[in-house]
Amino acid sequence: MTRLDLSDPAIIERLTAVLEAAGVEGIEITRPDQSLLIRLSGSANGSASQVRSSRADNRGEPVVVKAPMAGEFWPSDLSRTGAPGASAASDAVGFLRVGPILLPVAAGSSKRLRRHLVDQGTIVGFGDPIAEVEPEV
Amino acid sequence: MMQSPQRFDTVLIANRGEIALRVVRACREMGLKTVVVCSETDRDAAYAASADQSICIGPSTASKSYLNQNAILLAARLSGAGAVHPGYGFLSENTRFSAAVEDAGMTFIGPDASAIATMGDKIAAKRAMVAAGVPCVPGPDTELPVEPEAIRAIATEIGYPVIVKAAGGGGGRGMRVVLDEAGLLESVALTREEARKAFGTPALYMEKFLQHPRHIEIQVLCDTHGNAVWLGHRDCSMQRRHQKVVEEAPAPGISLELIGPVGAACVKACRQIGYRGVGTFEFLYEDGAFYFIEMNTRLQVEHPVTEETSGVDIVRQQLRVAQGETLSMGQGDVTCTGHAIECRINAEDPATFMPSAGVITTLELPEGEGVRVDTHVEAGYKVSPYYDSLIAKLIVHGRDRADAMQRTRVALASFRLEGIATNLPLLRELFEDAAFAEGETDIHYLEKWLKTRGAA
Repeated sequence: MTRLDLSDPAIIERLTAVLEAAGVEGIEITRPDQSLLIRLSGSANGSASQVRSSRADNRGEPVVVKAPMAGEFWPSDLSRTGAPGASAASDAVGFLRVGPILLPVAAGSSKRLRRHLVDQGTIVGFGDPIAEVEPEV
Repeated sequence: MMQSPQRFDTVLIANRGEIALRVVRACREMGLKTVVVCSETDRDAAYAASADQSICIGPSTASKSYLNQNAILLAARLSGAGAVHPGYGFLSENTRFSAAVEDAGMTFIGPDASAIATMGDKIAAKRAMVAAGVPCVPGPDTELPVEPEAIRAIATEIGYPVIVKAAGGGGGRGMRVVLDEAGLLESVALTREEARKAFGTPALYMEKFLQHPRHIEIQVLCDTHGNAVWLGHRDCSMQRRHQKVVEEAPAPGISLELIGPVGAACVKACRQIGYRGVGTFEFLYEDGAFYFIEMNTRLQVEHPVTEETSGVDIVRQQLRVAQGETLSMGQGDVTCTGHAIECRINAEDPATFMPSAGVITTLELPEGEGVRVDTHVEAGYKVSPYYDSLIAKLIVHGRDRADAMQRTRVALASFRLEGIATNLPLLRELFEDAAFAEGETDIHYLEKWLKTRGAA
């Protein structure tokens, strides 16, 4: 059986639509390699989903976080943008916004935001580097 | 009722390569902004940078990028595009995509979903053509029954050899030739099972099998106000495994008096089904008669030969029609002059036809009067193994066929492309062939010619 790619925007959108139709507020899927959390806020801002991918850490090395889909980039915490060593709020280095959908981009577990690589409001594509993170000491 | 088109100032191009660049050029000439979506492989290609904006939408695999409807629609929303041009291939004839674009409040630059669906179902298409008086291959315009006796009766009435085709097929896929009654039922059963698996429907139909036909096309252009014209005809008989290699306009040896009524019937069919945009009626031609096989509801790879002979920029006309404009020409204004030939330059081994990937180290394009090259590649471009091997189209216009052939020989000789294998040597050899130079060869000619030179 083919394994779903939980970072695929189409999968996230489909799951979101199913949750909305079913009147469910959210879902969390956890696998050894990926986890997905979708929460439907019911507000005008629509739904929010969060994808975490757990992979082997290169300890001490900064890691570039890439956009999992195209979207308008919003840093997770504007006051910390560009501040080396600042913690990434809620493991998210920022958000990708497309219309009513806001997709948090995860830094990964035990990661600190080193710097953002794109400005707020920049349209980024799939695979574009958006932030650098480093392991929390 | 046809949906009234909306004006737009930004076009998202849901395609790649030379056709993406071709659409960018047309948009720019009309003052429209362009957004090109691309995969990771094409992210750094120069053609993507030629658009006002390029957005990477996914990995190299087409199913996750150029065939990913949701990713394309998200990119369209993100960029504020008012229209989507699908190019050819990929999602260009996808009913769901056309509908999804329009449901999202944008204009699909092509026919609406119902017209694509009608023409995608070969039985429904044939029925529509019969109603408009378009000549079709002998055989019923209904689905083949399942009862053996009824199948035998239809084949006998048509006369052997017959061809069994999948209603959802096309482009040479999902068909089987039956020479006599002995192999009939087994062939039907096999084709039905293949159709069920490949096209999602087991529906079949049966037609007379023509043994030595030529492949002739008629290009149409329709607006949303009930106006339609045909822009002349093309001969695309030079094929290998149903893939066109050389196309030309007009089709040699076919007079306007002979094809004129067929063109008029195609225009009538377009009006009857409420068709909008550009489209191509494909026919088999044998013994002086035309037989409709299918309609392509999109821009064709070979559209430039018609542009060269008719003087009509087909992509710009597509964009105008999508904006809701009335056709600026009537049938009386369409005049085709001279002869045009298109060679598809493919990144493939000229002997084995295996795709060739790698970096183009040298590229010198032919130039001169009547010579046009549509391509997205340049020296240093990396040809990817992920997509179709078409890397350039050489289009040559001459005062007549002999002149166009000679100009093409000269252009092919000066076309330098190094670093990867291409079919240029094969094309150079083919243009020296006496029978091809004479013209009017059938759809099997190239394969036979390849066998005689030991390369099929």
